[in-house]
Amino acid sequence: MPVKISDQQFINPQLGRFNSTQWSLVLAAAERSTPESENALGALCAAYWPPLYAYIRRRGYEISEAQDLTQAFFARLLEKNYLGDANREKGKFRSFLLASLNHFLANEWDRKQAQKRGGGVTIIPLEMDSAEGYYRTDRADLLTPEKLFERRWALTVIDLALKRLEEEFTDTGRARLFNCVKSFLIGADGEVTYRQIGAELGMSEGAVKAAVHRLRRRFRELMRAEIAQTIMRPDQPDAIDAELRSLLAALRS
Amino acid sequence: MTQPRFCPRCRNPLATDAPAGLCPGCLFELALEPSTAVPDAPYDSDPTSSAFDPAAVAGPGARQTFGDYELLQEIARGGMGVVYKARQLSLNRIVALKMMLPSLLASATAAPRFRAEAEAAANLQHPNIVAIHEVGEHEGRLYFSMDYVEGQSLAALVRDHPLPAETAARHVKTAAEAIHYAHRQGFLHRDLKPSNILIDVANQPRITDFGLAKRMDSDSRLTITGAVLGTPSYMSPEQAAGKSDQVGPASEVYALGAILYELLTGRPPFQAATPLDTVLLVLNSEPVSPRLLAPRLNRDLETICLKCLEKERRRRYQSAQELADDLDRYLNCKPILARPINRVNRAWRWCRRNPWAAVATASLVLLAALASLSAFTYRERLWKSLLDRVRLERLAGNRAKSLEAASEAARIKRTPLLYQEATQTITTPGVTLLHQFPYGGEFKPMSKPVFSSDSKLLAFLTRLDENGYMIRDGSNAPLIMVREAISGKLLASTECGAFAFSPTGQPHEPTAFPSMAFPSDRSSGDRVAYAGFPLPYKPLLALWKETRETETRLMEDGRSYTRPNDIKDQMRFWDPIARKDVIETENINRQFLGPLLFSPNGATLVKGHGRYGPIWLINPGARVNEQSCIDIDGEPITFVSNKDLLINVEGRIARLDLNTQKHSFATPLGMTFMSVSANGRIAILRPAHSKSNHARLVQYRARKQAAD
Repeated sequence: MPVKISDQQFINPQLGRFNSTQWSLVLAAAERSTPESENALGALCAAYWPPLYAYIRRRGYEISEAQDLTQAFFARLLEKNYLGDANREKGKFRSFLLASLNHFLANEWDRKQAQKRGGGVTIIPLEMDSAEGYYRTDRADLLTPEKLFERRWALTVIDLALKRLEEEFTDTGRARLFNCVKSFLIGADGEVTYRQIGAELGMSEGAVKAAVHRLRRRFRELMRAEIAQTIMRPDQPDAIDAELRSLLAALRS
Repeated sequence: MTQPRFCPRCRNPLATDAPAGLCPGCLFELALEPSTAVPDAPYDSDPTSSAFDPAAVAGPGARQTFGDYELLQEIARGGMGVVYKARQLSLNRIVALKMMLPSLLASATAAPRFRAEAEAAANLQHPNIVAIHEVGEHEGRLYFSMDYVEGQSLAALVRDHPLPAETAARHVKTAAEAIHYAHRQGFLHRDLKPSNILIDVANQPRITDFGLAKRMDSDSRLTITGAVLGTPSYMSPEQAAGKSDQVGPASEVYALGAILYELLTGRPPFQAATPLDTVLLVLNSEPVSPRLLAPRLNRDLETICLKCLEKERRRRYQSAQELADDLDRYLNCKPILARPINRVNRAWRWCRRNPWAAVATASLVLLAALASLSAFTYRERLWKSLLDRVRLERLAGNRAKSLEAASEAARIKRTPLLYQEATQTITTPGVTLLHQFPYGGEFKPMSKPVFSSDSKLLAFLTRLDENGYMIRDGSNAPLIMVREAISGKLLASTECGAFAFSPTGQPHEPTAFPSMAFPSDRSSGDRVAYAGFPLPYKPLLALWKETRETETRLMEDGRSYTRPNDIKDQMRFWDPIARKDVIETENINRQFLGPLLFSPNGATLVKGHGRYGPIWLINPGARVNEQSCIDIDGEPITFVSNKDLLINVEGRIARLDLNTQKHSFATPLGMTFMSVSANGRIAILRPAHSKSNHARLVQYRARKQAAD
């Protein structure tokens, strides 16, 4: 049975996601879900579906099957059937999602059921084309499904943080500045200097430098906030560091 | 905008799906930086603004630049240079900057080696090898920049306790794969050790410091022939022996095995007080089985580790990849290819290297064999856990607790291993018990153990045989035992009453006595013997033996009496390694037992006796003993130069000039000699006829040479 969840949540996955830490909210409500916890889980799913899709594809499903399975899995998940597991594991959202998905793929669903259960119905507006695009660039043939899942997860965290950062700049009318300086997040490419950017934007060199500094600091905060959304103890910097490291390991492996 | 293929910061290939074309790994690292340390964007700083001063870099406010680099912090200091954490200003990236130590600039060989290091590493592109970015020279100083790796070295990780076996195996496996890659590119690392393997924030090993890297196919003379490079504890036997033509991939397999050993047990396979001693252990000893140090260690992992540490290259894994593969099998719980060394085989190898010790410990081995029959009894397990505690408490720095555990263990069972552990606790840090041997009760000054002047041999007089039993063969003379200092191996033994090591070794040319010196030599006081001195040291012992001929008579009461008939003295110059006399000796005049002293240049041997009688000068360089006699009642104390001998004449110190054979007293009357310092300048005296209990320290002025 399709769940009724406010469309608003899914159309803009960013909305409301920073008001509270989502995964801890879901966990807290695992015994008895609340509208807030349902919304929180929905928001998380909407944000972190690309790793799931990549994982399913890597497990050998065709494009259309993978799309159906992804949708069906979310439908099933949002029926709260798996939240007991989540409560039991008390772990990271990432681990929970992968464990649930494995369970889902192994035990319960074939494609037929998937269709019956919700496949073919858009529960979450997943951009399947871009998902398939991601999958194809993921060096998928070189990685195990699990590695691929982790790698795509890490990239999703960055995507979310970068999108958010861009929104903040756009909202304050600095979209152009953002486009000019975002490459300095990592370090200059050696071709463009602060002076040149300053000349282009009508800013002093010092002002550009300060903007870059703020950009880097804000990006760091947003990355950590994103991670905090998916772990059980978001208030502990060590826990955030640990998750960051494990994702970094996935990227570097 | 064209998409760059490599990240400008970490130099890793950039994936096509990198968000906004930025390296995802570096973005994660940015998120991991401490909030206060998120670097400021760079200024176009003036590189000439300050002269480089390493000492000033550490200062918090000081902003030091070196060319394009802002030095942030000194990370490490090694034999070749200093490594800084630095920011490359033009690219705004954090790098490790290695630059040559200023003191090395003058050295002609250091600069090419430094460049060779950078060149070697720059050619290696591998995720587990720290990448080189730039090689250059600034203000006359060579430098290169490489990835800055956040994390700790394996040496730091293993400092407090061994790593879990899985972790250790995984790290070494990854390192072995990287090393194998380097081998295929034609590079040897040559200095693999835990401090050269960094574990980054992603928990991946990154090999750094291809400091001694040398292309396998090049005939570079950078490595000084015969000079041992590398760190002895992780050095393969062929490298330790200086056989550089045999150093190859199998040597690195050895080093990886040594690293694995340390990760698993907390200590390297061989470790001694000095690098030289460590080298000797590497060459001559089998490593202690890792499972003795870490009892719960998996047997397969031990087998893999010991296969790497085989002395013979052909018995090791033939490539680093083979090692990685076997570790992989272990990690995946598949059967490994390495076969454990058969215990009998291992024991046999040990015996081959230590024949004498093998005999001595045969009974012990027998005991151990019996003990193993009843192994895993409660007491056995208790004893083992106590032994573990001895080690752990020692590692934790709790010496008293460690000894407490040792004494408890000793109540259950005393073994050499326990003694060794206890001794290590007592002498920690840095001292290892090499060997112990029966010594016996000969504690008279003339018979205390003495080292040869090259420290390779030791000799002492004893009346105990190798098994610690009194010698009962009717002879009165004690035995001199000559042993190798490091291994403790017994080289030779023979009867003698007094002995002395020649300071210079075997004589090669006849020399003349001071007293027989040519007139022209008298003025200098030194003789012209030993052309070409110093020669390679060959141990030479002067032995003085007293032979008592006895006569046994049957008396009327039916009992037999043995009485001395004649006493003969013999002086021998003896090579303990060849076990033969190097110079013919003949019987000399009957004398009393007294000290033997070589002059500092080894040209004169002085023999005196306790209190009375003449002092004999013997020329060890002569084919047949040349002797001369100085008729003075005194006991030789020490040489202060090649011709000046201090003697003790009835409690007063006299200085005897061997050329003129005249002596002058150096102690005031009424003072009695107790002891003099090695250089003969400081003496301890006490009043001869006084109730005072105070000893007095006196110092002599150096005598003017012109007065001689």
